[in-house]
Amino acid sequence: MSKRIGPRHLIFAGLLFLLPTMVLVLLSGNSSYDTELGLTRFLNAFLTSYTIASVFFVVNMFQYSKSRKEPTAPWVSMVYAAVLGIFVTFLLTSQGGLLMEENGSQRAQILYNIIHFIVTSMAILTAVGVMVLLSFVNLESKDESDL
Amino acid sequence: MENELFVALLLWAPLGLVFLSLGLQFRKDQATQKIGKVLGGVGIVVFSTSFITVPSSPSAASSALFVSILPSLLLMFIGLYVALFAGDVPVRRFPPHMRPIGLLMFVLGFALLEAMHWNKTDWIPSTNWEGETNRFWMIFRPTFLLAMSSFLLAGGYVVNLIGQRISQTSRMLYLMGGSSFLLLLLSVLVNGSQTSSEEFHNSVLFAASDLLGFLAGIGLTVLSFGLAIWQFERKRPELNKLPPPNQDQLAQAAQIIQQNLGGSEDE
Repeated sequence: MSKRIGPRHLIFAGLLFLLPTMVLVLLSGNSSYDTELGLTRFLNAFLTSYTIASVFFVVNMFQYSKSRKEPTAPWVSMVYAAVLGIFVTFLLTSQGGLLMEENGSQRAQILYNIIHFIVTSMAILTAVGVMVLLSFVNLESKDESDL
Repeated sequence: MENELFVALLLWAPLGLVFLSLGLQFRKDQATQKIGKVLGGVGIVVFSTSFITVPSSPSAASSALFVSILPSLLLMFIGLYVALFAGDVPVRRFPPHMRPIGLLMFVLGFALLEAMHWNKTDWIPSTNWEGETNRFWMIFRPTFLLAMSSFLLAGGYVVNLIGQRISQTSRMLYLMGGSSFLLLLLSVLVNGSQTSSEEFHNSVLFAASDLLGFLAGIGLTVLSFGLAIWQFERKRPELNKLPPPNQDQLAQAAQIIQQNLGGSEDE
């Protein structure tokens, strides 16, 4: 019988998700890890994924507006996404200027962010794809589970 | 200037085609979907060759990485696909004896990906680019192993909560997630063929930043668009307060039901 998934279960799942990262941080000890660069990487990943996902959602909002007969839906969502994006970007970049890594110019950094996003997405999608397929591969047959 | 034009045409434009192709897959029109698939295929092929056509671009290293990990990815996904459809499922496409072969292909694919880090021989795809370790390999492998560990461990727990017919699934997810995590720890403690353990440890911590940033960005997007959709949806009348359907709507519903009844033999 299936159990009800409550907030306690979700918190535990979240902790399990973060467990490998936490162990690796604890193991880092006196390594040469550059915290500032790590934060820059987090912010760049955050802003790039937000921008690309927003473009994807905006395109889909046109489909939504057509099927739900809401002609203003794409424009309203675009305004929401843009306002939130500008606010977050301002908040994040106001502390330490532009989020530059080892690239010489802003244009190089933007292009690098896009490629970086693609490589990261590929790694995450591969892991998620393996998880989904592995789950279905191990699904027991109905007769077996009834025994 | 001329070189920049070549990079734009042979690297960035094909990537744009891949994104366009993904967008076109959401169109209902089948012809448009097919065009999208062709454009996506052309985009992937041209992008894959960009490390030969425009090697001077720093981004061409990503194309070299894509080509070198492609055999592993294909082995893993084709293997799992074969194992899935050779199993005890109503839509079986392969004979049952293919299941172990599929699982073996998955294990070989995963082993090949790992061998690229631990061994340096001519018969394994190289992780080198311009004489040193490809910078994108140092992003891909840590992110992949970290995402595998995190998603599979959390997934194993959630799947176990859902219940029926999945106790084996949960065990397998824990096992695979645990193995990925062990490999991650091993790479952090032992030097690889071309990277030191400390270098890898830094890459993993950066990968954690990438992974969390990626998920936070996607999460905020879902939140902002969810808010916009909620604003429109809450204005709509509740289902039990809707007026009864008129003749045109009933005819349209009947037509849709008619189109979706039946099905071919292999369904």
